[in-house]
Amino acid sequence: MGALLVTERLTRRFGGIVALRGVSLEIEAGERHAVIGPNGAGKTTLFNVISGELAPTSGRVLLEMRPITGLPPHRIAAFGVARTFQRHNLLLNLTALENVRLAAQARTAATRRLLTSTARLTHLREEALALLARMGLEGRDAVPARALSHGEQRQLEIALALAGRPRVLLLDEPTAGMSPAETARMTALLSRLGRDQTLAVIEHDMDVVFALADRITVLHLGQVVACGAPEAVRADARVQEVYLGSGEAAHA
Amino acid sequence: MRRGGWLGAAIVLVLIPAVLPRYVTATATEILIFAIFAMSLDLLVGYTGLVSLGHAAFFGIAAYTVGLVSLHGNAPLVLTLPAGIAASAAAALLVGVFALRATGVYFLMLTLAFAQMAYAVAYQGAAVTGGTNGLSGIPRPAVPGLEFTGAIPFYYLVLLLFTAAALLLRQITGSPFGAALVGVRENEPRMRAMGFDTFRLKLGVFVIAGAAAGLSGTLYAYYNGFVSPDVLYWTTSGQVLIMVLLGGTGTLAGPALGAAAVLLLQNLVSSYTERWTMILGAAFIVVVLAAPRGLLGLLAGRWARSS
Repeated sequence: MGALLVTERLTRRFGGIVALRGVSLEIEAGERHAVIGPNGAGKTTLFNVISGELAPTSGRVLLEMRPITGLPPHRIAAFGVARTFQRHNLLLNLTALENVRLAAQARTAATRRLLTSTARLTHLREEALALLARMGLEGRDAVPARALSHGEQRQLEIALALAGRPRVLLLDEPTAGMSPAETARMTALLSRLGRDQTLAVIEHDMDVVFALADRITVLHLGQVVACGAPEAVRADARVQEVYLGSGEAAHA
Repeated sequence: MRRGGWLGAAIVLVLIPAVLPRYVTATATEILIFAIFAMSLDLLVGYTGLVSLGHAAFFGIAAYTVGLVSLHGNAPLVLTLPAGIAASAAAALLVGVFALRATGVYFLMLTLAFAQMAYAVAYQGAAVTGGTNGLSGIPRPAVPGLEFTGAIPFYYLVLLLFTAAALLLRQITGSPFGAALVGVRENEPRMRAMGFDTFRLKLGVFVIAGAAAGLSGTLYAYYNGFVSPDVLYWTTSGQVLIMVLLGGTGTLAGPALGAAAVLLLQNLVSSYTERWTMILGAAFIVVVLAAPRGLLGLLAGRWARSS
């Protein structure tokens, strides 16, 4: 049995710039995998290639050993790879419940039912409420997404992604722009998701990374510098060089 | 309070012919027909966020269908009603496949262009459509065993079909399909990312709205007794859009109220002055500025305060 998500020697060029240079990594089922690296290391490009927003110049992406490289994003999402973006993207005038219920509905055939009242589809409502509770939004179901705090909007975004029951969830900087309190809350919520939810997280906050990750991949200038358990990565001489050399030691 | 409002409206509608003079019954008939038309457009404008300026096409196509069928003998309602609705739904499917590839103002322009094409066909195809004279002498409908020749039986027929249409549209907007339409209005790219086929959703609602406009067009042909190219002209599309915006988008009841407001204003004011469109324009500006949620929004606000 191979890894759940595998990238094989992914390379992506933008004109003369090489954003990804032969990136190979493996994410096991149930693993929480952090991708770190200085700005411009190619982290978001890597996620964009995995989720289909970008096609790789060369290399392959495999989900459960099946190639998904170059498929359109909605097909890849249907295969079970969900992602969130650095900026949230919600239905701002609808309530938190309506947002998640639509995301849950998308997975079902309920949309074809023109004469059934939404109120009678209690399983969708209950599923949505459970997802809101799971992402720390219990009691906030009737609040329009627009009126939620920044931190809550990020939580809602993840609840929407979870509604699709993804095999792998790719989170691009889930704590970006959050206060320390919001960051701690998000970290706790993510670690409580459970081992049946495989996670890949791009994160700058090292406290979050070390609290969450089973393994860490360090990217630098589009290349994998190190990959392994947090303690091994922390002790790796080349990783220290990358962070010291790029002047982000304080950040790390 | 809301329930009371609905019950009151139903009682008034049922009692109109018994209590009020005959010309009021005729006006009420026209209001109910246009209320169906306005509610059908609200599915697009208010629920899905598709602003169409060509909805008269589906109103007019059904009216002409009834006119043409009725020329060759007095066809029963059980035949003309499905024929009018089917013709409009088919036209909406055809127009929707093309127009829904565009969004925003380009969608608006495409719907306008298709409606004006339908107008041009009616205007110039004199051999079939009667050209500027239109088709006249459409008899009031009948079903085997029942005739709706008089104004009062015809009013009750329209009231029955209006009620059926309103309940059906209400059911659709309250369904998971309706919820997905609102999602498209709010953030279509996000809905697509969730896995919704938003083109199919929009095409579906466009055909439903076309079919409902076809119902109102069918009744209008009977109400008027004749059909002229005016029913397809862009001013008809504009007028029904004003009804929707004036009454309050995304509510169904609002556009029905808007239809009543516009037609009452037209009937009342036009008996004093020919410049009733100026007055309608002024009323429209006042409502848009003072009550962005339309007349229904105003009423709902009053209810909320009083209860």
